Amino acid sequence: MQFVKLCLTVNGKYCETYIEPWRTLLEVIRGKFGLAGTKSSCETGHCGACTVILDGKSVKSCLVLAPQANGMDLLTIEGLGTRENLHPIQQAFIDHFAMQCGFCTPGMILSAKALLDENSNPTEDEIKANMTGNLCRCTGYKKIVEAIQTVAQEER
Amino acid sequence: MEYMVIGKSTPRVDAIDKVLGKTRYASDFMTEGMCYGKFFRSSVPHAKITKLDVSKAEKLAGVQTVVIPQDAPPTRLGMLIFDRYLLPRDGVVKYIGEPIAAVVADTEEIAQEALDLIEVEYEELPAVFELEEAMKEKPSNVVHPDLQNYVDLGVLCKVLREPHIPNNANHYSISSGDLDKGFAEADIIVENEYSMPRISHCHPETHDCIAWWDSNGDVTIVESTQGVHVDRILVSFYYGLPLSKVRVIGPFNGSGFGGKLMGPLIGIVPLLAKKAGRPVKVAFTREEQFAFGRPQWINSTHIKDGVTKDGKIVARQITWKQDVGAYVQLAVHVTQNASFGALGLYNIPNFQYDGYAIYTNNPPAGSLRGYGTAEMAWPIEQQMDLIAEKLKMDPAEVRRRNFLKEGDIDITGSDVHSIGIADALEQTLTEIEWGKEENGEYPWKIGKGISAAAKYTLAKTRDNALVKVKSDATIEVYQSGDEMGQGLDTVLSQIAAEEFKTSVDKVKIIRADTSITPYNAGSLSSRSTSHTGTAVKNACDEVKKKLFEAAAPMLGTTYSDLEIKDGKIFISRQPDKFIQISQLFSFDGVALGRNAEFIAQGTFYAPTDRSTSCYTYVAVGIKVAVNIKTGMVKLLKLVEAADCGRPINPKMCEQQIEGGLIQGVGSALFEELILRDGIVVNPNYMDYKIPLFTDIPPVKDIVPIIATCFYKDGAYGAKGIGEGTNVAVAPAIANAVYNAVGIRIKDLPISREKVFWEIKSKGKI
Repeated sequence: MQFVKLCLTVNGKYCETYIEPWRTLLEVIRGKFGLAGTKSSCETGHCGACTVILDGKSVKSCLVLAPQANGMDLLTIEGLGTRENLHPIQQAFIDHFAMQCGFCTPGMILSAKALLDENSNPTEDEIKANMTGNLCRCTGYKKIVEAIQTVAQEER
Repeated sequence: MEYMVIGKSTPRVDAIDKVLGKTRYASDFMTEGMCYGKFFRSSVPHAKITKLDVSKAEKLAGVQTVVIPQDAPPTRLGMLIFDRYLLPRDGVVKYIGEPIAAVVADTEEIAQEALDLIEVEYEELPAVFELEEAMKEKPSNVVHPDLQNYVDLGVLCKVLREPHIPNNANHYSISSGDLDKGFAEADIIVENEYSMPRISHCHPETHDCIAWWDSNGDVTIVESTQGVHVDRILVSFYYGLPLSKVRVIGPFNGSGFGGKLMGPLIGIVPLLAKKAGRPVKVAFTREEQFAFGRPQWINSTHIKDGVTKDGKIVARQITWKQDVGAYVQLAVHVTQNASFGALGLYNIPNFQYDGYAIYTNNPPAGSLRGYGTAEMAWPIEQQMDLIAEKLKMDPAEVRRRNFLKEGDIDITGSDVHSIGIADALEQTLTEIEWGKEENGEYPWKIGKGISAAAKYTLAKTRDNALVKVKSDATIEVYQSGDEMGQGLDTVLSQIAAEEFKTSVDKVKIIRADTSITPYNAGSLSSRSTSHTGTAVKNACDEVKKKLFEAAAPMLGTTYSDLEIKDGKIFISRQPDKFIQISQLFSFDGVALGRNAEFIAQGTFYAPTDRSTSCYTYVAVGIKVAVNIKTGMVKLLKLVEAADCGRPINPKMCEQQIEGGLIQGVGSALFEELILRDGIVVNPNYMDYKIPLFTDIPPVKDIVPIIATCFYKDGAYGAKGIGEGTNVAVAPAIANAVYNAVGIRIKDLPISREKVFWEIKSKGKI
């Protein structure tokens, strides 16, 4: 069994570890780095619960082979905000009741961040089209859209 | 009456952790020495196992043990009908995917690899998959030849098996009046067949379960579950243990939708842990979840209505058939409970309902958000429109003329109360602009449809709660309900905060754990707000008495003169004479006086002389555009008014309405688990489509309405809302599609394909 070295920045902190080369980034995030906020829900890249931001782009970490992330900058939900200093998207989700069971929420928030970082003034249709890779079974999506719209408005 | 926090949309108490990714679910649970279990599953639907050799799997490095049928308890077990072995002790498998053995290994990958080393041979036997075939007196296969000798546990409902239908697991019947007389009085008859396919809950968190035994022979289970106490009863029964030796812990739940009650793992994972001698975790993959997560049953309804020319239904006959798969769990309970949806909304003097639960060699099915109500609303709410059409009446008027009213006695003999359907319907009609026709631009045709439904909450159940007040005026609430996203933690926090006239952040919910939190019949049947909520309220009342008893002498008065607010106990007529709660404790947090703690229990008993406690009533109004060239159904506007009694937290009630609407849209337009010869062929999100962001209308056109009708027995007049919001969406869409293009789809889903071919066969529209 050949292990490979994986070096990347995780939520602003430089990390080095050794992994089996066939591990997905999702498995390494949860298993190696102990960051349980990124969720495993379908493992086939459909539901988006595993969404993280890699070098500024939102990716489904279940579809990224961990070695592909070597040398990159990884942001998981744990790196976004704190209880004392919530990211505006996190605050908007709270204010707009944009979560229920919460399992899809970390992935949702990071997809929303990636969207707003690229397009700070999205239309409703643009929000929906960009978020369509994240499934939610509880909310019906309306309040998530409204939360994102609020953040976009405030940034303007 | 003005309340401090009741009726206010206070932020969800679980919101911060959820947006931080800090909420911990059973799927996140880890413990020392934990290893992983995977099932070796049957690849044939019905067979004798002639060879099972696990020796190579056992030898694989990293495999702790392989559990085989001989390790399982020797008697048939189950819930309601004892029809299953935990693993096939009799050497017979009855569905594709039935667990035959289980591998426990250090990692999931090793467990998966070991499965490939298990050798099995079968002698295949005939199997039956189609509901109509399975229901015959001489079907192609009798799934349980010894069915008449099985024990059943008649606690939730009586189980009646018709011996002349060998695959009948349960036949429930309820009637009133004289059906023949009713049909004879009718001016028109409307008779049709409707059907629904298997659909999956699609929980974001799949079923998962971790179990371990200690040296005392006590078992601890951490599980994604809606009811830790009912699961505990099942485990104690399966393993012959007193309840005190079973502990079930329920962390935050990544959604339930009625699928996580006595689930597919709770019975068997302890067996794996026992043999392995280590904690074992089993989590369904998404594929397993689709195929084996007990999806909602294929079901069909034959319904015959007799109606007078002024729109009064004088007779209704319903025959309902469920394909429960190879083993039942709660399925036979739903055979009975579906009738509550059928009789809970309309006043029908001559009524007959027959529900049949039928075994097949398909994987076991189970309940999904509605517990039989969606299955009744689908046929009934289309019938109401067909009646209206035949009589040339407004569909809304036909419903109005038949709604039950406050004080009526329903067919179960219970009095109808807190029925807000009339108001819910009127608000929906106004919002959807009922009566105003709209034309679409070619090739789109616009149509509107309405529906209504009544989703019951169970009676004959009980919840307990404990409330403890701490020296810093924190209120701890010990209860065993499940926070699965519906907002139970927040509702209970609001109730406790209201009782102590303090802020919600002074309330702490202690998570469900059968060793710590008292009995609760489960977060099901939309019962938790009213039932658990009332238990919590009652516990608060008792604890306040104790606080006031201790405070009274310090304030020189009697306890009946006292009130509490913001951590202070004061004399009602002299509020400037008060003490802080902390003054009732010594410096080390021990309560003064005869109680070392200020703690008390509260109980809610749902009535035992009724079949149902109360109903959530909903009215749905939907506007669609149908593309006559492609068959696509586009949603333009979704309106739903729900009568949930007093809304404890209005925004959270909106959450349920919006979520229920979209989940209902999924079952209406897209969702179908396709079974071929006993195997699910689309167990993934590519081939089983659930609604996406891009499937919803503009958010301003999703309109949740709360229609209030106070429930006299529930805390603050609140009822439930979680399930009702889902059950009537599909028939409203069917009615809207009919209004648009004259096509009536009676077999879900209303897929683009079906609509396209129906339009094509009708010719030019």
